[in-house]
Amino acid sequence: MNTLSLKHTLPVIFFEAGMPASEIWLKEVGFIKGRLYLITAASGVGKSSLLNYIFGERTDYTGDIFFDDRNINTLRPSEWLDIRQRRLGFIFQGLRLFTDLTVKENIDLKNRLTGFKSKTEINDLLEQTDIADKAGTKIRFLSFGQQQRVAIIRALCQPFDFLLMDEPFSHLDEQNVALLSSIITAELQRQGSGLLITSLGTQYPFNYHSILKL
Amino acid sequence: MLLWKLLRKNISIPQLTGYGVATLLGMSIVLLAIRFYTDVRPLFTSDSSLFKADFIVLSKKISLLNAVRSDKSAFTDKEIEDIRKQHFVNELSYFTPSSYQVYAYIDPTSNIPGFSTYMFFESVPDNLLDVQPKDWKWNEESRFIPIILPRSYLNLYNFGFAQSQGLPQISEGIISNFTLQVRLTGKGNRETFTSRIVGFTDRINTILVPDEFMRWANDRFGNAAKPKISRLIAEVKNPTDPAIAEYFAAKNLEINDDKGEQGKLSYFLKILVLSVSAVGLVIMVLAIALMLISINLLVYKNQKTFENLMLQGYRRQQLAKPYYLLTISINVIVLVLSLLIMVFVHNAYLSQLSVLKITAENSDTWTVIGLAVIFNILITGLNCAWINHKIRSIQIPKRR
Repeated sequence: MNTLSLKHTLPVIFFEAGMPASEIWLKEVGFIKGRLYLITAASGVGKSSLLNYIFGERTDYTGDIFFDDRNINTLRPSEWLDIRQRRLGFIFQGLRLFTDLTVKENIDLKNRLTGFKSKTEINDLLEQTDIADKAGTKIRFLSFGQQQRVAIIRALCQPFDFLLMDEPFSHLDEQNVALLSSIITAELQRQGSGLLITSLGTQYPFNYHSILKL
Repeated sequence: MLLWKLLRKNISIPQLTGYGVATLLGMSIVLLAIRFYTDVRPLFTSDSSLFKADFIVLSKKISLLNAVRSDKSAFTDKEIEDIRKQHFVNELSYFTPSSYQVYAYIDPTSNIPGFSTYMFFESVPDNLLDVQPKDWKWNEESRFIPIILPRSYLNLYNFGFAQSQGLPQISEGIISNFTLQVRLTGKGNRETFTSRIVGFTDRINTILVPDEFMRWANDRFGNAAKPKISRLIAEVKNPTDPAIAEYFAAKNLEINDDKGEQGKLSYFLKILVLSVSAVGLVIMVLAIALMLISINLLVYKNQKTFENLMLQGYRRQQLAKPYYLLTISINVIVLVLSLLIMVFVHNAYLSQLSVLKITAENSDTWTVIGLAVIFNILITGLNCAWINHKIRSIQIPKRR
């Protein structure tokens, strides 16, 4: 997947309510693999919706979304599985970790499916993000900040053409943000992938190709 | 296994146990009912002499009305044709009665105490006889009339009359050596023949002579233009067919001795087995319903987990698989236990039934095991199909 484009896309809910000017909704926008994009917006204008549409989780929009030339509403369930395993990475705002499993188990659950990272690589990531000592701890005993780090590591355990991040650093201090940004950047460069990151306004330390206002 | 750790959540052990126990109970009942049926059925359908009755003898019921007029108890041609047309009748024939006077006596010149009696003869076609003695033939020149007597007559004499009167008991061999003189009178003719009892029958309750002789004698001595037919003999396809009893009851006909009872008994047995099986099946159906509801509940409770796993890229088949394995394990346990119960109970009642000479036949065991396996596969299939159906109903993206 080299481009990810939106054509006159709009959440159904805005269709009737109307909405302020946007650089994405109802426009023709293309995101290109290898480039980094920041999407900023106030609350309630559809940041999470946008990423959820692209990830195929929700379909309550009008207009079209394309992966290259393929309209995503024509994708079959099996194709979506392939996309979620190998084309799109997603760090959910709600994290969606399995709280009854440990840190290690959450990461393994993804990595066993993809076989993408070695044990050593995973351990290195846990070390770097300072949660190696929590590897055997169940998610529900971790702070939200620690959980965010687990979710990010889990998302990196797969190949992707684009990484989608939905306000990923909301509970992390600047130092951690800088650390995680550099880890993510390294992975993006290694894979030659694109990044779509949403934010309420904070400009996380990435080298953006463009910043769009939703 | 990581997936299992997630998916086992919300599985209700009491519900699964309830399902297992109820299915086990239902399955055992059904299997035992079938097993019992296959055990006892040979008594009704096989060649076992206990209930052997491929032939039934029919007569009209004697009531006050037809006691006065004997022709009321005779069958008309139309009635005979109607019976012949019934689907359960293979072959139908009738008893030809003698329409002349028969007087039998033991030759007073022999050294056996004197004996004489008026009697009667009847005949049926040879192919309906259960015995074929070698002397069972008639020809006009030999002047010899072979007689077949019901074995029950001899028993009646030996165990009833002889014992009470202090007379000697007679074996079949001895009685076959007595030579009788038989005098036939009618139509102005009187002739004497020699005669002997050449065989005994369990099937037909009358004094039989060869059909051929009967035709000849009726022609020569018979008083009636055409002998009245008051008893029929029918070869039936399945004597336990309840339709037989129903038909004859409707026509107010009597079936000879206990052979009609056997049809009723078999019918009763079938009803019994069916009712017991039905109870077992109902229990099984309820158990399956419980399982389906449990699956519904489980999938509902674990819906978020399923969705999150699917967002991680897990296929639905992968998610369903642990539940398939669980269901299959439970059902295999149920299968094994139900077969064990079946074998155990079967052995227990077999010793009781050994009086009836019922033995365990391996072929039947395999039939029942085969049935059990088929049942189990069907139930497992249903469970798995339902699991698959429920998990497939979780869709991402959700369809609007």
